[in-house]
Amino acid sequence: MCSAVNLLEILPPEIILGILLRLDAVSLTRCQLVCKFFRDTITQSANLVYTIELAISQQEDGQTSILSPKEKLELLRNQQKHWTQMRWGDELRYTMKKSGLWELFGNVLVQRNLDHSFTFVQLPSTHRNILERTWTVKPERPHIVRDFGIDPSQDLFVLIEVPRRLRNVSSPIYNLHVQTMSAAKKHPLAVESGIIRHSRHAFDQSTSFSIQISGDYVGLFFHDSAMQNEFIIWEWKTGNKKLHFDGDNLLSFSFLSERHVLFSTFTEEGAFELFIVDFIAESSEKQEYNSVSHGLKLALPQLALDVSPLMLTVRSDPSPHWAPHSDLKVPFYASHSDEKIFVASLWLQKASIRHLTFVFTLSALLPRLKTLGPISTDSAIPWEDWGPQATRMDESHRINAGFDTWACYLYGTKLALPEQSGRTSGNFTVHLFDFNPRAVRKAISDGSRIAEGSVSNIEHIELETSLCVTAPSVFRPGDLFEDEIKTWLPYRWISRTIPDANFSSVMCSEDSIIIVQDSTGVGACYRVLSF
Amino acid sequence: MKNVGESDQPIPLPNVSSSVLKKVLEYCEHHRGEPLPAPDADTSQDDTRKRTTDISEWDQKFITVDQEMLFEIILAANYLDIKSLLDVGCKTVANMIKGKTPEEIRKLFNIVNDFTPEEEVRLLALPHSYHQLILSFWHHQAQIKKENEWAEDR
Repeated sequence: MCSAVNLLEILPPEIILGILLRLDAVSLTRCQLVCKFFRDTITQSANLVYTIELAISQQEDGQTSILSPKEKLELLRNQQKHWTQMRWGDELRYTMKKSGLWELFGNVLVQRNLDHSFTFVQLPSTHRNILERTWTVKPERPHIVRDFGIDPSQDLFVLIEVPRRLRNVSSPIYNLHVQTMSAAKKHPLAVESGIIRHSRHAFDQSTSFSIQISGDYVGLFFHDSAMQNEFIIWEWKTGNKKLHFDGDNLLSFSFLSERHVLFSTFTEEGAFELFIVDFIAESSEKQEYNSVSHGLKLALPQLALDVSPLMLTVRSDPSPHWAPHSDLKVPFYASHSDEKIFVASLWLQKASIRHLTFVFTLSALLPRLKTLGPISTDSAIPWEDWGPQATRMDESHRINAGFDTWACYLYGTKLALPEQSGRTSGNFTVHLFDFNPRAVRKAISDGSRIAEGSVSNIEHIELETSLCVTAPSVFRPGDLFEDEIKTWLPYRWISRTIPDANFSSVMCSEDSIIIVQDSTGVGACYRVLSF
Repeated sequence: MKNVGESDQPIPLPNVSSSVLKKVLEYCEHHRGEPLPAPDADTSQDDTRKRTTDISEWDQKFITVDQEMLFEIILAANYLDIKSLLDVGCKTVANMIKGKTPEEIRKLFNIVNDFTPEEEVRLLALPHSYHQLILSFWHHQAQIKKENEWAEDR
């Protein structure tokens, strides 16, 4: 269509601004290159610049905030500057309770007290105007809680009650109590009894649990030593079961989207794989994971002959499409619909135990979800077809890699890892990796330094200097894997020494890095470095 | 809209042609009796960004006109202060822009590229220019890979 009409000559500037205000960030960045008038209109509007910079930082606008776009833009720029330079503001300390049961989800830290009450802390944020808030609740029942999950955006608190140890009980009942975080009473949207009941064929005293809430669903993994692992997804408002797997091949899980769940698996052939299933389309009957009809498998690189697989766990935080509770009135929040990372911990045995951190992105998996099928007949997608460019695999230097299996050391596209080694001169150091592709691109175009290799290969850590890594991570053929393995996913990295630290691990939340300082026993605490 | 119909005073319409006025009246007739949009629907101010560009089926059909008419309708809606029609018009233009390259946008609206060649080069290389950021992530990686292969081939 070629028309003689010139938009700029006909429409007044305020209408052109009105049109630009209805555009998304990507269209706006293109409009900036059309002509000077468009460019100037965009750069002079705090609202439009905010839209663009928000998209670059992978965040969404908080619709309930009362702040103006100009005020939000200022907060956003401050927030980004502090994260990029790894400069936190306040440090808060929370004493570690002796019961050992705790959880961090959706920027709330919960600990169980010895008197069976629970203390919640809403972690504060300087740049998102969130105040610290602490409250304690004591559920009437269950008395003995083995584990629990929370979702602050839904005021949801799910407590796992295991059966009492009784002999000759053929099908012991496990109860999930669906309560509120605010009062530890039955959740108003839960089923009438407030309890989801699950019967197992036997009782295993050593069973441990992984629980994750994603919107309307709660996923529960029974890790058993004496019997077979079991995994179930329920709709927590109705108590209806959506997916039920049985078998030791499943190792760990993480919700991938509103209808997909990701597992790490150990195949009958003795290889590690990733496995995705559509739990809405799939039957809710109990089955072996290998018999699903709406699934997909992703292969990992072939191990070298003298290497044995030990363990593979996956995790991501928070759950898909998670958004903070509207009462918080945040100006903006991390968007998890476009991009987030999954981190797999891979333990291998060669002469010694070797530990790898394996990062892959949601955007690499999303296009694959359109073609799900029966996985018993469909073979796994070969590593070469999906892995090299969409992932990053590095040998880890971290303290306490075992912490990986259950702690929240990543959030959105950020990953925080602790290190105390020769290359950090023995200092307790925290590395912050950001895999947000737009932020990496922006840092590069802003002139950030580009590293020659991956951070794991650097001999001496230069502190407080941000680097962009676009060079691949390389494993020589025959070392851990049969072939040479290169992974290319770009990231931005910075590290900083933590003062007065003697810590065992680090966690990451939307507005904070949390130092878990429990190694001395005395003065054990969570140190929340707030951004 | 309501005021237009109930006022006894004649409204001067120097900038609105009869064919455009006919379209505007058709719109008002169809939407008669609907509640007025909230005051914050005024997007000529630099706030309350309307993210959604969804347009109802009737409005969509109504606004499927040539570009000249579309701009005339927007101008008339602006002049007569019919916010819902102005909204439909701006959304329609926004939808036309979406998914297009800068060159395609210029061509569509007959806009002259007034960047000097030097400016354009600067703009492309400008650290704060975001144009590269929106390029596909995969494209960027493919580039790295290519460069690397090239280095290996040597």
